[in-house]
Amino acid sequence: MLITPFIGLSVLVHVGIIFVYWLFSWVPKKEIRFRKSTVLTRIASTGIIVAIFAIVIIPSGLFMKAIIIDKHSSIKFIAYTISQIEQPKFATAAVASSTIISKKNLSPEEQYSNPVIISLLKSTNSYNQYIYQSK
Amino acid sequence: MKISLLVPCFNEEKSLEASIKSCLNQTRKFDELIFIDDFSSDKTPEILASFGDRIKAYRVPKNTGNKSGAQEFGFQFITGDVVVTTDADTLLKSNFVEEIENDFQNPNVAAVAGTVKSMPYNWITLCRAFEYTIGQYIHKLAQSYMNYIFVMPGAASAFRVDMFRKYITFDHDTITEDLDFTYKLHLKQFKIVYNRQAITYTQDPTNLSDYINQMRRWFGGGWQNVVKHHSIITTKPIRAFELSILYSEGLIFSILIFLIPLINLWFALLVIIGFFQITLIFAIWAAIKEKRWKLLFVPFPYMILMYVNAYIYLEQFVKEVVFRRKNLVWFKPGRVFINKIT
Repeated sequence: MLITPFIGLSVLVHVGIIFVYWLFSWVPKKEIRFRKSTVLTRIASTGIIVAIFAIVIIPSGLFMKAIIIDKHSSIKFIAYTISQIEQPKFATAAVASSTIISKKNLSPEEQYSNPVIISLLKSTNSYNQYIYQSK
Repeated sequence: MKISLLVPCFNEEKSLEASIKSCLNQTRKFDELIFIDDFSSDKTPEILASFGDRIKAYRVPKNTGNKSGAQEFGFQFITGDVVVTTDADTLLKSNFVEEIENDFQNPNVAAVAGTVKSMPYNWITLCRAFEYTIGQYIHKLAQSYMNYIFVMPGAASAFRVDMFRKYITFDHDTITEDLDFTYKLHLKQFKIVYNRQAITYTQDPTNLSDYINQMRRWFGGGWQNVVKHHSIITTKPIRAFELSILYSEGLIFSILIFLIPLINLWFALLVIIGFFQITLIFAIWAAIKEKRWKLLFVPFPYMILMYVNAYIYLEQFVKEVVFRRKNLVWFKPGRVFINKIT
């Protein structure tokens, strides 16, 4: 029987598990012994459930908030999120695409005053260079 | 080791003969083949009789109404150490019993989950073949590494008979008995292994109406079993991880894919394009893996089925978990002659 309604996050997680297993396949494995659960395993299990729910629910909540607050801000929101995990090239590409997709055709002055773009450039350490090029 | 086969049948005239032949044509023969006719009204009894003493066939006095009822009736006739359970619309690959026997050489193994493949017929079975490839070669493979098999497939499972009689039994209180068996095995700390080489070919729904009804049974049964065995989630961290990621993802993203178009159509389109691209990557992989090149085109129909699946997933959640309207009515999809689809 099917276990999820579509190809999604869980598939990617399971692909990751397979890769990790293959990567460490040379490590000698201990015989797995099945024991009854203890209070500690129950606490740890509950912690994992809460953590996974948080990982899935919080980003989806933020995602929805971003779309609802400003209908055109969803792409910029993704760009901003990417910039926060310090991947400058992705962030720069995301800014460019967000500007194009939102079809606002911002002038250099407007871009300079756009708070999202400024925060992105600051986060990628490109702010000074950007000001220099703009001038 | 004595290996028995148990196959429940209800109006299976279109597929039964091919199925029995595949069971008889094994490199390592079954020691006992038991077929249970669940009070069929078609030519099933005649087909069973035509195989003479090569198989044992029993007829239930009154239709049991579901697969597990017929299985329970048949279990009393089993004399083997290991029982293979499959369906009457399913063909076993010729090395199936050999593979199963190898796994049971390990005395710690209590059950073996085989691999199910979908017989090719049309775009719906193509999508199902894609789902099976992902579900088994990614999900189940990773689960076997983590030592937590989520579900034993109804069309390709094997159990130690003593263990089954003592600990598993038939409750008939959920509509997906295979998932019920699996949860019970985990709760009793039994070891389940997944064998990628023990392959069966099964017949899946060939029209959308049958597909929807089968998904209702599968997802509805999935929720029923979560409610029934809810305590399993907190017994082991790995179970907590697997079950919470599967169910939370299914629930939250099923809601999201319906909600996003209502808020922002443009962004919904981007989400669908994103899903399409991810599906395409996996479809290319599945096509290479299965050497079934039609799978390259599966992302197109799969985008439609994704919405169908998500809708049924939410519908069954509301019915089974929120309102606790337990549906125990068995659904049997229409059959196609197997010689037409192989």
